[in-house]
Amino acid sequence: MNRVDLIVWIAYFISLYIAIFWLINVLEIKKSRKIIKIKSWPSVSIIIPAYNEEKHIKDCIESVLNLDYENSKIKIIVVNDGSKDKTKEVVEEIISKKKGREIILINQKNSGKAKALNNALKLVKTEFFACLDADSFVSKKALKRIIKTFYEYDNNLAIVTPAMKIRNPKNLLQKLQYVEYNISMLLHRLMSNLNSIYVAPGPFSVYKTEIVKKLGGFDSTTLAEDQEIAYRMQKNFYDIKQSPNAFVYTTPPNNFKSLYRQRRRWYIGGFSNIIKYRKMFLNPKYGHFGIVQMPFNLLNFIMAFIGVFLIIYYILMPILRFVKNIFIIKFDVYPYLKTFFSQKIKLSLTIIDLNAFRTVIILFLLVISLIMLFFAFKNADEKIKRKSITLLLVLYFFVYYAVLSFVCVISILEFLILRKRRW
Amino acid sequence: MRRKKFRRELYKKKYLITGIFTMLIFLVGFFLGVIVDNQRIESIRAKTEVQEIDLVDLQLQYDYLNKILGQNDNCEVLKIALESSVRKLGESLSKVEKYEKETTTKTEDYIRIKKKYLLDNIRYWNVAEEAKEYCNLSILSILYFYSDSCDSCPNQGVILSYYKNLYGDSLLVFPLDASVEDIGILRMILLKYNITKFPSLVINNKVYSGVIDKEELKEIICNETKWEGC
Repeated sequence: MNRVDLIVWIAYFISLYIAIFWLINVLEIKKSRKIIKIKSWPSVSIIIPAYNEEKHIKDCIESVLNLDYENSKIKIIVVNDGSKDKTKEVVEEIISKKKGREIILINQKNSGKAKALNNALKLVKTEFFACLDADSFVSKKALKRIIKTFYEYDNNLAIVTPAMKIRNPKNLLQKLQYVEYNISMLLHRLMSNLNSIYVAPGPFSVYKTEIVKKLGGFDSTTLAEDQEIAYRMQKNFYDIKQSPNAFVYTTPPNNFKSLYRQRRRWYIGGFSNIIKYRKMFLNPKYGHFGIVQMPFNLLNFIMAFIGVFLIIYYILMPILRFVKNIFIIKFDVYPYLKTFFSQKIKLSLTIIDLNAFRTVIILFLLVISLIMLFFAFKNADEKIKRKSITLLLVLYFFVYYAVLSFVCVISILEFLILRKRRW
Repeated sequence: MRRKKFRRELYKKKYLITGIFTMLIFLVGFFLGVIVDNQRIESIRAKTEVQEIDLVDLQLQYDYLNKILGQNDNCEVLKIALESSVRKLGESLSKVEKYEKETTTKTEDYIRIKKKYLLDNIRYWNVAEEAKEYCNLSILSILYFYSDSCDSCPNQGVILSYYKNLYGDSLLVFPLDASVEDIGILRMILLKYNITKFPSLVINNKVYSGVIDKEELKEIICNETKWEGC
C-alpha cells in the first residue's frame, strides 16, 4: 500500500463517518413541537445593511413591510454603507411613501457590514433585533415562527436562524446552489438539535439584543462576522437554534466570479474563526460543539485539500501524461486507430477490473447522499423535479464539489501566505 | 438574567453507533476486496498456465523442425504459432499491469507472477531469435529493458507501443523489468550486453541506451528489416 492509497483510505473513512453521523441524526428528527400561544408579540428591530443594493433593496424592505406581524412592532433600520449607486435614493423614496411605518436610514462611510450592524445596534431598543441582507427577502410567516422559537426555549437562547432558500434559481450555477442550500438547511436543523450551529446567516438571523450588546456587538475585524458571532455565543454557552419553517429567500451569485468572491470570504472567515477559537477545539467543556462540530469544520478544509490532491493525481496527471504521449509520437495516432478498428474490441468489464473496496465505499456514500438529499428537499418543502434533477445531481456531486474544493484550497493558501508575510 | 448551563452535552452513544456502522461498511469493503484480489490472482495464474502449455508446444515444434531440416514450408506454421503466443504474452502483460493498478495489497503472489512473466519473455525471445534465423522469418525482436526507478522509461514504452501498433505481429517487443530481483538469466543478459542505464533496447545484438525517439527508432527498424513503409 503506497502513500496515496493511505490518503484515499483516510478520506473514505472520514467521509463515511460524517455521512453516517448526519444520517443517524436525520432519522432521529421529531416533529413534536410545543404549542405556544403568544398574547403580546414583542417589538423587533430589523437592521438592513446595504452596499450598492439599488436592485434588491426595494423588494427586501417591502417583504419586511408585508410580514405577518403587528405593524407598530416592526422598526426598520437601513444602514447605507457608503453605496456608490442609488441605494440611498431608493430607500428615501420608500420612507416618504410609507409614512405610517417606522423606517430609519443611517448613512455611513463605507466601512463594512459589521460596523454597519454595530452602528444600527446603538439605536436598537427592542428586545429582539434581526439582521437582513439587502439581497434577501422574508416570507410572510418567518418572523412569527422565529419569535415562537424564542419562546419555546429558555433564556439561554441568543440567536434563532432562519431556513434559507434560493429565490427562483435561473442559471445552472444558481440551480446548483439551490441544491446546496436545501442540504445546508437540513444540516442546520440537525446542528440546531445538537446545539452546534456555528453560523448566523446574514439573511434574517434574529438576536436577543441584550445578549449581543453584553458580548460587545459584531466583530469588524473578521471576514465572516456571521460565523464569528455564532462562535462567540457558543463560547459563552448561549444557544443558537434554527426555526425550521421560517423561510427566507436569498439571491445567490449568478456568475463564477462573484461565487468565488463569496466563498473566499466564507472559507477564509471560517478558517480564521477556527484559529481564533482554537481553545474550544476538542475541549470537552464545550461538549459536542468543541469535540465534534469544530473538528468537522476543520475536516471540511482538510477534505478540500485531499480532494484537490486526488483530482490532480487521478484526473489531471493522467490527462497530462496522455498529452505528453501524443507529443512523443508526434501526433501520429494512425497506427492506434488501425489496430483499434481491426481488432475485435472486447468490452470485458469483469470482476478483475474492479476495485471492490473502493466500489463498496463509494456506493454507500452515494446511497447515503441520496437519502440525505431526499430528506433535505422534504425538509425544505421543495418538490424534486424528476426531469432535471439527475443531471443536476451528477453535476452537483462530481463537478460543483470539485470546483468548490479548488476555491477553498486557493483561498486558504492565500490566507496562510498573506498571514505569514504580515508577521 | 439567570444562566443555568455552563457545560455542553456530548452525544457519546451517537458517535459510537456511527463508528460501528462506519467500521462495518469498511470491513465489508475490505473483505470483498480480499476476495476479488484472490480471484484476480487465480485468473492470472490460469493465464500463465495456458502460456506454459503454449510455450512447450512451441519449443516442441521448433525441435521437431530442427530434426527435419530443409522442409522450409513448415516455417510458416512456426511463424503463426510464434505470433499467437507472443500476442497472448502481451495480453498477460496488460493483465499484470492492471492487477498492479487495481489491487489494494501487493502479495507475494504478485511478485511471483511478475517473475514468471519476465522468464516467459526471455524464453519466447530465445525461441523467436532461433526461429527467425532458422526459417528466415521477416520478424524483428526488440529487448526492452526498463526499471521502476526510471522516469523516462514510460516515454520509451509509448514509442515502442506506437511501432508495435504500426507493424503488428512482425515486431516482437519483449519488455524486461530490470528491477526484478534474483533472476540469474536476467543478470546474465544485462552483463552480456553491458546494460547499466535504463531504458535500453537490444535490437539484433546491438545495444541502444537512453530514450530512442520516434525517428531514430524508425531508422533502426528500417536498417534491420526491409519492411514496407521504410
